[in-house]
Amino acid sequence: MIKKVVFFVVVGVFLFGCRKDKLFIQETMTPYVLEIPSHFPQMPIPADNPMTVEGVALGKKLFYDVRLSLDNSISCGSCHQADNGFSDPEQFSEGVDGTLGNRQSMALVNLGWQTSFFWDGRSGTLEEQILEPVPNPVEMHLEWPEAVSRIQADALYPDMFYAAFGENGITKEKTAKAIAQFLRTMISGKSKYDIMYKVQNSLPLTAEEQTIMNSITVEEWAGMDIFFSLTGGDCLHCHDGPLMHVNLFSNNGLDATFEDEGRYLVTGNTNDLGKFKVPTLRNIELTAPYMHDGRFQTLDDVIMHYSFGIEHSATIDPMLEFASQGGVQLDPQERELLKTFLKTFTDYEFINNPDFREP
Amino acid sequence: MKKLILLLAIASFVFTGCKDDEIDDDPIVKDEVRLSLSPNYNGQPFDLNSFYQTQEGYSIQFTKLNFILTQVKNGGVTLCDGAVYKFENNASLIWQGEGDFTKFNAITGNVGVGPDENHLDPSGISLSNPLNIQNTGDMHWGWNPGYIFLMIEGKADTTVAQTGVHDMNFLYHVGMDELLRTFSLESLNWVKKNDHLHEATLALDMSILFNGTNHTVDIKQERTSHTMTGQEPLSTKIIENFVEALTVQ
Repeated sequence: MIKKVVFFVVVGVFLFGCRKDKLFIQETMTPYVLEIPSHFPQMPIPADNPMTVEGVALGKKLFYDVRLSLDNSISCGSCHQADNGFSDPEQFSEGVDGTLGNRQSMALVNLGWQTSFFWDGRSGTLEEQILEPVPNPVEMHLEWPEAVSRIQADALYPDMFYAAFGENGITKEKTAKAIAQFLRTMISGKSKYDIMYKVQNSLPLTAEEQTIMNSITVEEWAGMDIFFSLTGGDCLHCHDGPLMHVNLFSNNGLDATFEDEGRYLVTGNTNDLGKFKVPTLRNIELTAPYMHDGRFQTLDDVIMHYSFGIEHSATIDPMLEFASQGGVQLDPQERELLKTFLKTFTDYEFINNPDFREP
Repeated sequence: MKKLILLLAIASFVFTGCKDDEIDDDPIVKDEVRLSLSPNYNGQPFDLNSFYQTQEGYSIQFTKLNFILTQVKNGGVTLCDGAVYKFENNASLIWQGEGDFTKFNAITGNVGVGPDENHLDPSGISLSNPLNIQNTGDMHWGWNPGYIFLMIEGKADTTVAQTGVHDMNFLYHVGMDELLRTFSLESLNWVKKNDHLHEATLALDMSILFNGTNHTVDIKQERTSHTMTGQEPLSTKIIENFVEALTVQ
């Protein structure tokens, strides 16, 4: 009897004595190598959510799974549709039972470089952001415990979660991590603008890029000049750089008083009244309607706003230098050229990439 | 005898088998230094919610204060190669990292980015470098002009009657190689924050931006500069006043 006890003690010590919980990519996981354009900065990846092939595959399946909504009617992809630049063509996205929110669906692109999420920036990480739409009554309206139960009951998910995280168990946090991994793969850097950026900065072009470069029209170059001109469109303060995105909140002169108080609702600081996250202009041609409340249906409407429609208020962005005269006063030809340039942000390879589209 | 052997085997495993190379029970904590900023406006506490008065009597409110320091050293000893400061959420931190405070009783450095770094690919720099575009954000114009060394933005009421409506924006974005300026600060006051961290605080009197020893700036007449052609003189005034405004607290 003593021998048996000793034997089990020895086996027990050897089997369980050194067990640890670690966050790292296990041998069974495959590191996912992001295809980051050469002119982009390195993408910051959270230490507790390394990119893996298994995690990305799981994230994509979850992203397009309608079972994450109360009545199995909508998925994340319902409000972030590929043909609309992973945004929603409706002014306000329709949630479960037809409920509507009060803000336009934001385009999903190059999220790995962003440092705040939602129009009011209330989430500081992608993982944090993903936790919100599932239980939100005006979106998917499903409590997380029920969502996790549904995932757990699926024939494939438990194994996929195990493959992605190297351990059993499904949680909302792991669900968010997997979707975040998928979203980080959605990199857009192959638009005409990217080639124009490279040319302007004397970066080498590939043969394929050179061919595209030769197709860039005089009007597109002229529109770029207007976009970056301080006395033209004056757009560069908020939309610049290789990512065509800066992490800022701004009151861009939409209203004199605010029905939606924007960033103020998060910070409580009156200086943030009417400020919203400055969105990327990537694929802007496809992501109508525009602004936080989707008030503008076309790019023409947007350009007219910045030309003549600026409303003054206490928190208006000082970078709108021509606010006192209502805007930058572009004439019809300049407006047309500017619109032509804005369309160079469209990245068809990104939009049509089957890795991102609904299976 | 067998029991003894088994006992020794268990004891041996328990005491040596779980050696963990990754967990150091007594890690060496490196000494760090922190450089902080405490802005003020002519002695008044500085924040983005308050209104201040210029020498002309205009009421003003700031909305942005960002700047870049590089090559911060004491003689041949480097404190940091670069630091990007943004006055967001009343942040005070300019830079924190490994260092021995006893070696920095004084510091010199650049306000801005030297020509060798100013035109490098801002995406190609390591993410841990403050000058990476991900960290500088909107403080970069593009490769040819380079980084924006100093960003000051705000609103003013420049009316004679001082109506309280701050609808005159002012904006100074200073950059370009020729406007790189150096600063030199003596007698830093290092305060012990804990056993491995010392902090020195710099003061920045924002009123001097408009009312320096050599330059005055009238917001009503000189309200905007992007350091473009024709705007260099105003940018020069602003950055030279900034250097004067930066002192040891």
